[in-house]
Amino acid sequence: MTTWNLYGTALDSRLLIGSARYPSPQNMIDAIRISGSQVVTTSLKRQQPNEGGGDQYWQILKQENLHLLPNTAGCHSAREAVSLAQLSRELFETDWIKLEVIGDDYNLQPDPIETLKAAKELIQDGFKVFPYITDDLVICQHLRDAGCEVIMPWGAPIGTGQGLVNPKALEALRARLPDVTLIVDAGIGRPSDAAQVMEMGFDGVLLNTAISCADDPVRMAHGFKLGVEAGLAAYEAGIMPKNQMAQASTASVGIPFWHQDS
Amino acid sequence: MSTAPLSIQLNGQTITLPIQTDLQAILDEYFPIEERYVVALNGMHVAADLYPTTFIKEGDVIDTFQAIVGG
Repeated sequence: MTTWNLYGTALDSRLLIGSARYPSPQNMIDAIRISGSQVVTTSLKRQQPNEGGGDQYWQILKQENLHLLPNTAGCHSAREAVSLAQLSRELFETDWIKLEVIGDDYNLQPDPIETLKAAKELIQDGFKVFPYITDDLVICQHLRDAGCEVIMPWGAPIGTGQGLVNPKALEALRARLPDVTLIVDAGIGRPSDAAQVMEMGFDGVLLNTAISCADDPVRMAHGFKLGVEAGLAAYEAGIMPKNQMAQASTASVGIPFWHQDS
Repeated sequence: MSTAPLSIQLNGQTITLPIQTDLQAILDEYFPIEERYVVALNGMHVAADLYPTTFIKEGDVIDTFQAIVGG
């Protein structure tokens, strides 16, 4: 698989996965391992240190030698997101942050204005920002101009598994932002969705629920690994253009004229 | 100068403290365990090296955070 990088960190796998909603911690680890993913999203919450659980989860992740991508899930303003990012930086010992600022609780659509505001503040504070955003070209251009080397447009609302609801918008993003690392985040439901993303020339895929909530998350993680690899291979190999007219794949020269007497 | 105890919120619970209490002293008293966590004071992150020099005022809100799974 072709090596790529995120903010200068070289990676092999193009699949980034979440750590939430697995049946068990061991199942999560098994799924991460078989997926080949090197980047795993994580989060933090208000919790008494003596309640237990948080430290155990941290220790499990540390043992896997993964790149952690903490998120700002649950934030509804730039101010909240910046504070949570700063807490995450200390807790997870990384300046990577998956910036999520939700604007609508019904479909968990990101708030583009607050996301851009937070991205600017975080970049000034030394963060490497991975903004979760809609597929709107102009807001993505603003995020690029603010200093985001990576942008993560949604495929569909979080957790819906609908796949790519607006592939034309994603195609436009890819065409108009050729130098930005683009990762489709959210809404991916099946490995063929991930393959489609990669066939379109995107740099990676980030998903959680489609793996963790499958009947067999470990087997599904393997499926997504193959889907991403297949899509990338197809993109790099050069996908044939669609034609209006049929074109015979077998040459007709030299074929006997069976029907010349009829 | 008032000598009345301070009333603050620690993870949503009201507690009272002597005046001139620093953040490190509170954390040592309430969470004397080797667990990994980070702290926000009034919604703002406080770096660990600032705990001993961060003095708590009446009405302050302290929250502790730990790692959890995330998507």
